[in-house]
Amino acid sequence: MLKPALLYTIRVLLIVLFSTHAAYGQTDDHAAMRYLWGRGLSVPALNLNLGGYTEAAVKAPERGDSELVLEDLSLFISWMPFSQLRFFAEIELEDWLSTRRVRSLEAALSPERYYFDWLVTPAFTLRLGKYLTPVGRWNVIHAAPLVWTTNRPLVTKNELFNTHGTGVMGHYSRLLNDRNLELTVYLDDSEHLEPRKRQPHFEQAAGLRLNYEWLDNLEIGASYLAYRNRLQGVDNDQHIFGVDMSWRRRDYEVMAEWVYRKGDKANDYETGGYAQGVAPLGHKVYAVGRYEYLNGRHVQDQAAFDLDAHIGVMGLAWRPYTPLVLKTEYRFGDGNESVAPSGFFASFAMFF
Amino acid sequence: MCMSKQIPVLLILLLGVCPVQAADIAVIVGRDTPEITLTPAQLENIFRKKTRLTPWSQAWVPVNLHANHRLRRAFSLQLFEQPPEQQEEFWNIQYFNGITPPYVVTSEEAVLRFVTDTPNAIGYVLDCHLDARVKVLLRLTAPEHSLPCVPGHAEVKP
Repeated sequence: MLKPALLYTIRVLLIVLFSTHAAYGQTDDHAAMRYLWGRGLSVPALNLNLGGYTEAAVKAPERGDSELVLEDLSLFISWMPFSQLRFFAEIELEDWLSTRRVRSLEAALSPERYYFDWLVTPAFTLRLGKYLTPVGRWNVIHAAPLVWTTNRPLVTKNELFNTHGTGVMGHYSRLLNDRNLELTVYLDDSEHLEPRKRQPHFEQAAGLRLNYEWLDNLEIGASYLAYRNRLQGVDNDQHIFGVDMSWRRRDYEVMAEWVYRKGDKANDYETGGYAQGVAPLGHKVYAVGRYEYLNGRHVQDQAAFDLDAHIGVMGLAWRPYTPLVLKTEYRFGDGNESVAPSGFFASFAMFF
Repeated sequence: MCMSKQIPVLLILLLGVCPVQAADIAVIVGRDTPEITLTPAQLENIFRKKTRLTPWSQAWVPVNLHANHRLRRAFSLQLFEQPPEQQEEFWNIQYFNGITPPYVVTSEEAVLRFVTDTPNAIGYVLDCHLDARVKVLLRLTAPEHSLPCVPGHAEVKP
Protein backbone atom coordinates (compact mmCIF):
# COMPACT_ATOMS: atom_id res chain seq x y z
CA MET A 1 0.00 0.00 0.00
CA LEU A 2 2.80 2.33 0.86
CA LYS A 3 4.64 1.94 -2.42
CA PRO A 4 1.92 3.37 -4.76
CA ALA A 5 1.34 6.25 -2.35
CA LEU A 6 5.07 6.98 -2.27
CA LEU A 7 5.33 6.84 -6.05
CA TYR A 8 2.32 9.15 -6.37
CA THR A 9 3.89 11.61 -3.93
CA ILE A 10 7.18 11.55 -5.85
CA ARG A 11 5.31 12.15 -9.12
CA VAL A 12 3.43 15.09 -7.63
CA LEU A 13 6.66 16.55 -6.24
CA LEU A 14 8.40 16.16 -9.59
CA ILE A 15 5.51 17.86 -11.40
CA VAL A 16 5.60 20.75 -8.91
CA LEU A 17 9.39 20.98 -9.17
CA PHE A 18 9.42 21.02 -12.97
CA SER A 19 6.53 23.46 -13.22
CA THR A 20 8.49 25.76 -10.87
CA HIS A 21 11.58 25.37 -13.03
CA ALA A 22 9.56 26.08 -16.15
CA ALA A 23 8.47 29.34 -14.59
CA TYR A 24 12.07 30.49 -14.44
CA GLY A 25 11.57 33.69 -16.36
CA GLN A 26 10.09 31.90 -19.34
CA THR A 27 6.37 32.16 -18.83
CA ASP A 28 4.06 34.39 -20.83
CA ASP A 29 1.36 34.00 -18.21
CA HIS A 30 2.49 37.06 -16.28
CA ALA A 31 -0.50 36.95 -13.93
CA ALA A 32 0.46 33.50 -12.59
CA MET A 33 2.06 33.06 -9.18
CA ARG A 34 5.59 31.85 -9.58
CA TYR A 35 8.74 31.16 -7.64
CA LEU A 36 12.14 32.07 -8.99
CA TRP A 37 15.29 31.07 -7.12
CA GLY A 38 16.90 34.24 -5.85
CA ARG A 39 13.90 36.41 -6.76
CA GLY A 40 11.31 34.99 -4.38
CA LEU A 41 7.69 34.01 -4.66
CA SER A 42 5.80 36.49 -6.77
CA VAL A 43 2.03 36.90 -6.54
CA PRO A 44 1.26 39.38 -9.36
CA ALA A 45 -2.46 39.49 -8.58
CA LEU A 46 -1.62 41.02 -5.19
CA ASN A 47 1.53 42.88 -6.24
CA LEU A 48 3.24 40.85 -3.53
CA ASN A 49 6.68 39.28 -3.40
CA LEU A 50 8.04 37.07 -0.63
CA GLY A 51 11.69 36.13 -0.45
CA GLY A 52 14.79 36.44 1.64
CA TYR A 53 18.31 35.26 2.15
CA THR A 54 20.34 33.12 4.45
CA GLU A 55 23.95 32.92 5.57
CA ALA A 56 25.83 30.26 7.50
CA ALA A 57 29.36 31.04 8.63
CA VAL A 58 32.36 29.35 10.17
CA LYS A 59 34.44 31.67 12.34
CA ALA A 60 37.82 30.48 13.51
CA PRO A 61 39.72 33.32 15.16
CA GLU A 62 43.34 32.58 15.99
CA ARG A 63 42.62 33.35 19.64
CA GLY A 64 39.33 32.05 21.01
CA ASP A 65 36.80 29.42 20.15
CA SER A 66 35.64 28.54 16.67
CA GLU A 67 31.95 28.53 15.94
CA LEU A 68 29.47 27.60 13.27
CA VAL A 69 26.62 30.09 13.08
CA LEU A 70 23.48 30.45 11.01
CA GLU A 71 24.37 34.10 10.79
CA ASP A 72 21.28 35.35 8.99
CA LEU A 73 17.91 34.07 7.96
CA SER A 74 16.04 37.07 6.64
CA LEU A 75 12.60 37.16 5.13
CA PHE A 76 11.48 39.88 2.71
CA ILE A 77 7.91 41.05 2.23
CA SER A 78 7.35 43.49 -0.60
CA TRP A 79 3.84 44.68 -1.37
CA MET A 80 2.60 47.40 -3.70
CA PRO A 81 -1.11 47.90 -2.98
CA PHE A 82 -1.32 51.04 -5.11
CA SER A 83 0.74 52.58 -7.90
CA GLN A 84 2.18 55.16 -5.54
CA LEU A 85 2.42 53.16 -2.33
CA ARG A 86 4.82 50.35 -1.52
CA PHE A 87 5.49 48.42 1.68
CA PHE A 88 8.69 46.55 2.41
CA ALA A 89 9.78 44.58 5.47
CA GLU A 90 12.80 42.49 6.32
CA ILE A 91 12.40 40.18 9.29
CA GLU A 92 15.65 38.69 10.51
CA LEU A 93 15.90 35.43 12.41
CA GLU A 94 19.32 35.69 14.00
CA ASP A 95 21.60 33.12 15.60
CA TRP A 96 19.29 30.20 14.93
CA LEU A 97 20.86 26.72 14.76
CA SER A 98 24.02 28.22 16.18
CA THR A 99 26.55 26.21 18.13
CA ARG A 100 26.17 28.97 20.70
CA ARG A 101 22.89 29.47 22.51
CA VAL A 102 20.17 31.73 21.17
CA ARG A 103 20.41 34.75 23.45
CA SER A 104 16.71 35.53 23.61
CA LEU A 105 13.67 35.37 21.39
CA GLU A 106 13.83 39.14 21.00
CA ALA A 107 17.43 38.90 19.82
CA ALA A 108 16.64 35.96 17.56
CA LEU A 109 13.63 37.50 15.80
CA SER A 110 14.28 41.01 14.68
CA PRO A 111 12.35 43.32 12.31
CA GLU A 112 15.37 44.77 10.53
CA ARG A 113 13.47 47.06 8.19
CA TYR A 114 9.84 47.99 7.70
CA TYR A 115 8.70 51.01 5.79
CA PHE A 116 6.15 52.49 3.46
CA ASP A 117 7.37 54.26 0.33
CA TRP A 118 5.06 56.90 -1.03
CA LEU A 119 6.06 57.59 -4.64
CA VAL A 120 5.05 61.23 -4.65
CA THR A 121 6.35 62.00 -8.15
CA PRO A 122 8.54 60.04 -10.59
CA ALA A 123 11.53 61.80 -9.01
CA PHE A 124 10.60 62.00 -5.32
CA THR A 125 9.83 59.24 -2.83
CA LEU A 126 8.91 59.67 0.81
CA ARG A 127 9.75 56.81 3.16
CA LEU A 128 8.27 56.27 6.61
CA GLY A 129 9.48 53.54 8.93
CA LYS A 130 12.68 51.75 9.81
CA TYR A 131 15.42 51.85 7.20
CA LEU A 132 19.13 51.28 6.72
CA THR A 133 21.15 54.38 7.53
CA PRO A 134 22.48 55.66 4.20
CA VAL A 135 26.07 56.35 5.23
CA GLY A 136 28.50 54.96 2.65
CA ARG A 137 27.78 51.97 0.42
CA TRP A 138 28.31 48.83 2.43
CA ASN A 139 25.59 49.43 5.00
CA VAL A 140 22.79 49.70 2.47
CA ILE A 141 23.87 46.54 0.60
CA HIS A 142 25.17 44.58 3.58
CA ALA A 143 23.25 41.35 2.81
CA ALA A 144 25.63 38.40 2.77
CA PRO A 145 24.87 37.32 -0.83
CA LEU A 146 25.71 40.84 -2.05
CA VAL A 147 29.05 41.38 -0.38
CA TRP A 148 32.36 39.70 -1.05
CA THR A 149 33.54 38.90 2.45
CA THR A 150 32.12 37.19 5.52
CA ASN A 151 33.21 40.07 7.74
CA ARG A 152 32.11 43.61 7.10
CA PRO A 153 34.62 46.48 7.29
CA LEU A 154 34.99 48.05 10.70
CA VAL A 155 33.95 51.53 9.56
CA THR A 156 30.57 50.21 8.42
CA LYS A 157 29.67 48.56 11.71
CA ASN A 158 27.19 49.62 14.33
CA GLU A 159 29.94 50.89 16.64
CA LEU A 160 30.69 53.88 14.43
CA PHE A 161 27.15 54.84 13.51
CA ASN A 162 23.84 53.08 14.01
CA THR A 163 23.16 50.98 10.98
CA HIS A 164 19.37 51.46 11.21
CA GLY A 165 17.21 54.49 11.74
CA THR A 166 13.49 54.96 12.29
CA GLY A 167 11.75 58.02 11.01
CA VAL A 168 11.17 59.77 7.73
CA MET A 169 13.35 59.80 4.61
CA GLY A 170 13.00 61.74 1.37
CA HIS A 171 14.71 60.50 -1.77
CA TYR A 172 15.04 62.69 -4.85
CA SER A 173 16.65 61.63 -8.10
CA ARG A 174 17.17 63.33 -11.40
CA LEU A 175 19.26 63.00 -14.50
CA LEU A 176 22.18 65.37 -14.73
CA ASN A 177 24.08 65.09 -18.02
CA ASP A 178 22.22 61.81 -18.58
CA ARG A 179 23.58 60.36 -15.34
CA ASN A 180 21.67 59.73 -12.12
CA LEU A 181 22.07 62.19 -9.28
CA GLU A 182 20.42 61.07 -6.07
CA LEU A 183 19.83 63.06 -2.90
CA THR A 184 18.59 61.43 0.31
CA VAL A 185 17.59 63.40 3.40
CA TYR A 186 16.39 61.72 6.58
CA LEU A 187 15.26 62.46 10.10
CA ASP A 188 15.36 59.82 12.81
CA ASP A 189 13.58 59.67 16.14
CA SER A 190 14.40 56.13 17.24
CA GLU A 191 14.06 57.13 20.87
CA HIS A 192 10.31 57.53 20.43
CA LEU A 193 9.53 55.55 17.27
CA GLU A 194 11.58 52.36 17.57
CA PRO A 195 9.90 49.85 19.88
CA ARG A 196 12.78 47.37 19.94
CA LYS A 197 15.87 49.37 20.66
CA ARG A 198 19.32 47.85 20.49
CA GLN A 199 22.41 49.31 22.06
CA PRO A 200 23.70 51.64 20.93
CA HIS A 201 20.86 53.28 19.06
CA PHE A 202 20.11 56.71 17.77
CA GLU A 203 18.07 58.87 20.06
CA GLN A 204 17.63 61.40 17.28
CA ALA A 205 19.52 61.80 14.04
CA ALA A 206 19.47 63.80 10.84
CA GLY A 207 21.48 63.12 7.73
CA LEU A 208 21.84 63.50 4.04
CA ARG A 209 23.53 61.63 1.26
CA LEU A 210 24.45 62.54 -2.28
CA ASN A 211 25.29 59.95 -4.92
CA TYR A 212 26.28 60.61 -8.54
CA GLU A 213 27.08 58.33 -11.46
CA TRP A 214 30.26 60.11 -12.45
CA LEU A 215 31.15 57.80 -15.33
CA ASP A 216 29.52 54.74 -16.87
CA ASN A 217 30.91 52.43 -14.21
CA LEU A 218 31.90 54.87 -11.49
CA GLU A 219 29.69 56.18 -8.70
CA ILE A 220 30.80 58.55 -6.01
CA GLY A 221 28.94 59.46 -2.86
CA ALA A 222 29.12 61.76 0.14
CA SER A 223 27.31 61.40 3.44
CA TYR A 224 26.73 63.57 6.48
CA LEU A 225 25.03 62.46 9.65
CA ALA A 226 24.45 64.25 12.96
CA TYR A 227 23.13 62.12 15.78
CA ARG A 228 22.71 61.79 19.50
CA ASN A 229 23.07 58.51 21.31
CA ARG A 230 23.47 57.45 24.91
CA LEU A 231 26.60 55.67 26.09
CA GLN A 232 27.19 54.71 29.72
CA GLY A 233 24.19 56.82 30.68
CA VAL A 234 25.57 59.95 29.02
CA ASP A 235 24.16 61.64 25.92
CA ASN A 236 26.67 62.06 23.12
CA ASP A 237 26.30 64.33 20.14
CA GLN A 238 28.16 63.05 17.12
CA HIS A 239 28.86 64.09 13.56
CA ILE A 240 29.81 61.72 10.75
CA PHE A 241 31.33 62.79 7.44
CA GLY A 242 31.93 60.22 4.75
CA VAL A 243 32.91 59.84 1.12
CA ASP A 244 32.75 56.67 -0.92
CA MET A 245 33.12 55.29 -4.41
CA SER A 246 32.32 52.22 -6.41
CA TRP A 247 33.76 51.21 -9.76
CA ARG A 248 32.67 48.14 -11.71
CA ARG A 249 33.71 46.92 -15.11
CA ARG A 250 32.84 43.44 -16.28
CA ASP A 251 33.79 41.26 -13.32
CA TYR A 252 36.27 43.68 -11.78
CA GLU A 253 35.23 45.87 -8.90
CA VAL A 254 36.71 48.46 -6.57
CA MET A 255 34.83 49.86 -3.60
CA ALA A 256 36.09 52.30 -0.99
CA GLU A 257 34.73 54.34 1.89
CA TRP A 258 36.29 56.88 4.22
CA VAL A 259 34.54 58.08 7.38
CA TYR A 260 35.33 60.71 10.00
CA ARG A 261 33.40 60.79 13.27
CA LYS A 262 33.62 63.74 15.65
CA GLY A 263 32.00 63.75 19.08
CA ASP A 264 31.21 66.76 21.21
CA LYS A 265 33.82 65.86 23.83
CA ALA A 266 37.54 66.56 23.64
CA ASN A 267 39.56 63.93 21.74
CA ASP A 268 36.38 62.10 20.82
CA TYR A 269 36.99 61.44 17.16
CA GLU A 270 37.56 58.49 14.84
CA THR A 271 38.70 58.30 11.29
CA GLY A 272 39.11 55.36 9.00
CA GLY A 273 38.13 53.62 5.87
CA TYR A 274 38.62 50.70 3.60
CA ALA A 275 39.48 49.94 -0.01
CA GLN A 276 38.45 46.63 -1.52
CA GLY A 277 39.25 45.13 -4.89
CA VAL A 278 37.73 42.13 -6.64
CA ALA A 279 39.15 40.34 -9.68
CA PRO A 280 37.84 37.29 -11.53
CA LEU A 281 40.00 34.16 -11.60
CA GLY A 282 37.77 32.13 -13.91
CA HIS A 283 35.04 29.55 -13.35
CA LYS A 284 33.11 32.19 -11.36
CA VAL A 285 35.81 32.32 -8.69
CA TYR A 286 36.94 35.75 -7.56
CA ALA A 287 39.92 36.99 -5.61
CA VAL A 288 39.10 39.58 -2.97
CA GLY A 289 41.52 41.86 -1.16
CA ARG A 290 40.75 44.59 1.36
CA TYR A 291 42.70 47.01 3.48
CA GLU A 292 41.05 48.74 6.44
CA TYR A 293 42.25 51.39 8.80
CA LEU A 294 40.67 52.88 11.89
CA ASN A 295 42.18 55.35 14.30
CA GLY A 296 40.77 57.29 17.23
CA ARG A 297 38.47 56.91 20.21
CA HIS A 298 36.51 53.74 19.49
CA VAL A 299 33.43 52.51 21.34
CA GLN A 300 32.62 48.84 21.58
CA ASP A 301 30.27 47.06 24.01
CA GLN A 302 29.59 50.41 25.71
CA ALA A 303 33.30 50.86 26.50
CA ALA A 304 35.50 53.52 24.88
CA PHE A 305 39.21 53.03 24.15
CA ASP A 306 41.92 54.40 21.89
CA LEU A 307 42.41 52.41 18.72
CA ASP A 308 44.91 52.37 15.90
CA ALA A 309 44.15 49.33 13.75
CA HIS A 310 45.37 48.20 10.35
CA ILE A 311 43.47 45.24 8.95
CA GLY A 312 44.01 43.14 5.87
CA VAL A 313 41.59 40.64 4.36
CA MET A 314 42.52 38.18 1.61
CA GLY A 315 39.88 35.87 0.32
CA LEU A 316 38.18 33.93 -2.41
CA ALA A 317 34.54 33.95 -3.40
CA TRP A 318 32.80 31.47 -5.66
CA ARG A 319 29.51 32.48 -7.27
CA PRO A 320 28.38 29.38 -9.18
CA TYR A 321 24.86 30.78 -9.58
CA THR A 322 23.50 34.32 -9.36
CA PRO A 323 21.80 33.95 -5.95
CA LEU A 324 24.55 31.87 -4.32
CA VAL A 325 28.03 32.67 -3.01
CA LEU A 326 30.60 30.73 -1.02
CA LYS A 327 33.32 32.80 0.62
CA THR A 328 36.50 32.13 2.47
CA GLU A 329 38.94 34.65 3.86
CA TYR A 330 41.85 35.18 6.15
CA ARG A 331 41.90 38.34 8.25
CA PHE A 332 45.08 39.70 9.78
CA GLY A 333 46.40 42.99 10.99
CA ASP A 334 48.08 45.19 13.51
CA GLY A 335 46.25 46.52 16.56
CA ASN A 336 43.13 44.70 15.40
CA GLU A 337 42.63 41.94 17.98
CA SER A 338 40.07 43.74 20.14
CA VAL A 339 37.88 44.86 17.22
CA ALA A 340 38.51 42.51 14.29
CA PRO A 341 40.43 39.42 15.45
CA SER A 342 42.80 37.71 13.05
CA GLY A 343 41.67 34.34 11.83
CA PHE A 344 39.96 32.26 9.22
CA PHE A 345 36.37 32.84 8.18
CA ALA A 346 34.14 31.12 5.66
CA SER A 347 30.49 31.37 4.77
CA PHE A 348 27.71 30.25 2.50
CA ALA A 349 25.09 32.82 1.52
CA MET A 350 22.08 32.58 -0.72
CA PHE A 351 19.04 34.55 -1.78
CA PHE A 352 15.93 32.42 -1.97
CA MET B 1 19.51 13.95 -49.47
CA CYS B 2 17.07 13.59 -46.60
CA MET B 3 14.56 16.37 -45.83
CA SER B 4 16.20 17.44 -42.54
CA LYS B 5 19.45 18.19 -44.39
CA GLN B 6 17.65 20.11 -47.12
CA ILE B 7 15.90 22.59 -44.83
CA PRO B 8 19.00 24.57 -43.68
CA VAL B 9 20.25 24.75 -47.27
CA LEU B 10 16.89 26.07 -48.44
CA LEU B 11 16.83 28.62 -45.61
CA ILE B 12 20.30 29.88 -46.52
CA LEU B 13 19.29 30.19 -50.17
CA LEU B 14 16.06 31.95 -49.19
CA LEU B 15 17.83 34.47 -46.93
CA GLY B 16 20.40 35.07 -49.63
CA VAL B 17 17.74 35.88 -52.20
CA CYS B 18 15.23 37.87 -50.09
CA PRO B 19 16.01 41.46 -49.10
CA VAL B 20 16.76 41.17 -45.36
CA GLN B 21 17.49 44.46 -43.60
CA ALA B 22 18.97 45.20 -40.19
CA ALA B 23 16.15 46.61 -38.09
CA ASP B 24 16.00 49.22 -35.35
CA ILE B 25 14.60 48.46 -31.91
CA ALA B 26 11.28 50.18 -31.32
CA VAL B 27 10.38 50.96 -27.71
CA ILE B 28 6.62 50.63 -27.53
CA VAL B 29 3.62 51.41 -25.36
CA GLY B 30 -0.08 50.79 -25.80
CA ARG B 31 -2.12 52.93 -28.18
CA ASP B 32 -3.94 54.64 -25.29
CA THR B 33 -0.80 55.72 -23.46
CA PRO B 34 -0.46 59.52 -23.27
CA GLU B 35 2.10 61.14 -25.56
CA ILE B 36 5.51 61.56 -23.96
CA THR B 37 9.09 61.73 -25.12
CA LEU B 38 11.75 59.55 -23.59
CA THR B 39 15.53 59.72 -23.71
CA PRO B 40 17.64 56.55 -23.55
CA ALA B 41 18.75 57.52 -20.04
CA GLN B 42 15.13 57.81 -18.90
CA LEU B 43 14.33 54.49 -20.55
CA GLU B 44 17.27 52.89 -18.75
CA ASN B 45 15.86 54.05 -15.41
CA ILE B 46 12.42 52.63 -16.27
CA PHE B 47 13.86 49.23 -17.16
CA ARG B 48 16.02 49.29 -14.04
CA LYS B 49 12.93 50.29 -12.00
CA LYS B 50 14.73 53.34 -10.69
CA THR B 51 11.92 55.40 -12.18
CA ARG B 52 8.77 53.65 -11.02
CA LEU B 53 6.11 56.20 -11.94
CA THR B 54 4.87 57.57 -15.24
CA PRO B 55 4.51 61.36 -15.54
CA TRP B 56 0.76 60.75 -14.94
CA SER B 57 1.56 59.00 -11.61
CA GLN B 58 0.83 55.42 -12.60
CA ALA B 59 3.32 52.59 -12.20
CA TRP B 60 5.40 51.77 -15.28
CA VAL B 61 5.24 48.06 -16.17
CA PRO B 62 8.38 47.26 -18.18
CA VAL B 63 8.47 43.94 -20.00
CA ASN B 64 11.57 42.13 -21.21
CA LEU B 65 12.25 39.29 -23.58
CA HIS B 66 14.04 36.38 -21.95
CA ALA B 67 17.77 36.70 -21.41
CA ASN B 68 18.83 34.52 -24.34
CA HIS B 69 16.65 36.20 -26.92
CA ARG B 70 18.86 37.99 -29.44
CA LEU B 71 16.67 41.10 -29.36
CA ARG B 72 16.91 41.23 -25.55
CA ARG B 73 20.68 40.99 -25.79
CA ALA B 74 20.80 43.71 -28.44
CA PHE B 75 18.48 45.93 -26.37
CA SER B 76 20.57 45.34 -23.27
CA LEU B 77 23.86 46.09 -25.00
CA GLN B 78 22.45 49.20 -26.63
CA LEU B 79 20.81 50.63 -23.52
CA PHE B 80 22.93 49.39 -20.61
CA GLU B 81 26.14 48.56 -22.47
CA GLN B 82 25.98 45.19 -20.72
CA PRO B 83 24.59 41.79 -21.64
CA PRO B 84 21.68 40.62 -19.44
CA GLU B 85 23.81 38.26 -17.34
CA GLN B 86 26.01 41.13 -16.16
CA GLN B 87 22.95 42.91 -14.76
CA GLU B 88 22.19 40.11 -12.31
CA GLU B 89 24.29 41.72 -9.61
CA PHE B 90 22.28 44.93 -9.98
CA TRP B 91 19.04 42.92 -9.61
CA ASN B 92 20.42 41.14 -6.57
CA ILE B 93 20.86 44.53 -4.92
CA GLN B 94 17.38 45.60 -5.97
CA TYR B 95 15.94 42.34 -4.64
CA PHE B 96 17.47 43.15 -1.25
CA ASN B 97 15.23 46.23 -1.35
CA GLY B 98 12.18 44.26 -2.44
CA ILE B 99 12.32 45.22 -6.11
CA THR B 100 12.21 42.44 -8.70
CA PRO B 101 13.22 42.60 -12.40
CA PRO B 102 10.69 43.35 -15.15
CA TYR B 103 8.28 40.70 -16.39
CA VAL B 104 9.75 38.35 -18.95
CA VAL B 105 7.97 36.96 -22.00
CA THR B 106 9.23 34.65 -24.71
CA SER B 107 8.52 36.34 -28.04
CA GLU B 108 8.01 39.72 -29.67
CA GLU B 109 4.36 38.83 -30.27
CA ALA B 110 4.03 38.24 -26.52
CA VAL B 111 5.56 41.70 -25.94
CA LEU B 112 3.03 43.24 -28.32
CA ARG B 113 0.17 41.47 -26.52
CA PHE B 114 1.48 42.39 -23.07
CA VAL B 115 1.88 46.05 -23.98
CA THR B 116 -1.56 46.12 -25.58
CA ASP B 117 -3.32 44.46 -22.63
CA THR B 118 -1.46 46.03 -19.68
CA PRO B 119 -1.96 49.71 -18.82
CA ASN B 120 1.36 51.62 -18.65
CA ALA B 121 3.35 48.67 -19.95
CA ILE B 122 6.48 49.43 -21.95
CA GLY B 123 8.41 46.97 -24.08
CA TYR B 124 10.40 46.67 -27.28
CA VAL B 125 10.21 44.86 -30.62
CA LEU B 126 12.00 45.13 -33.92
CA ASP B 127 10.46 48.04 -35.79
CA CYS B 128 9.50 45.78 -38.70
CA HIS B 129 7.29 43.83 -36.27
CA LEU B 130 5.28 46.87 -35.22
CA ASP B 131 1.55 46.89 -35.78
CA ALA B 132 -1.45 49.12 -35.09
CA ARG B 133 -1.88 47.89 -31.50
CA VAL B 134 1.07 49.90 -30.20
CA LYS B 135 2.90 53.18 -30.66
CA VAL B 136 6.58 53.98 -30.60
CA LEU B 137 8.16 56.17 -27.93
CA LEU B 138 11.78 55.78 -28.94
CA ARG B 139 13.95 53.97 -31.45
CA LEU B 140 17.31 52.44 -30.59
CA THR B 141 19.76 51.51 -33.28
CA ALA B 142 20.43 47.81 -33.21
CA PRO B 143 24.01 46.62 -33.63
CA GLU B 144 24.64 46.35 -37.36
CA HIS B 145 23.71 43.05 -39.04
CA SER B 146 22.84 41.42 -35.73
CA LEU B 147 19.09 41.66 -36.04
CA PRO B 148 17.90 40.94 -39.55
CA CYS B 149 14.30 41.92 -40.00
CA VAL B 150 12.22 39.08 -41.35
CA PRO B 151 8.67 40.44 -41.78
CA GLY B 152 5.98 38.34 -40.16
CA HIS B 153 8.44 36.67 -37.79
CA ALA B 154 7.43 38.37 -34.56
CA GLU B 155 6.72 34.97 -33.03
CA VAL B 156 9.99 33.38 -34.12
CA LYS B 157 11.93 32.18 -31.10
CA PRO B 158 15.71 32.04 -31.12
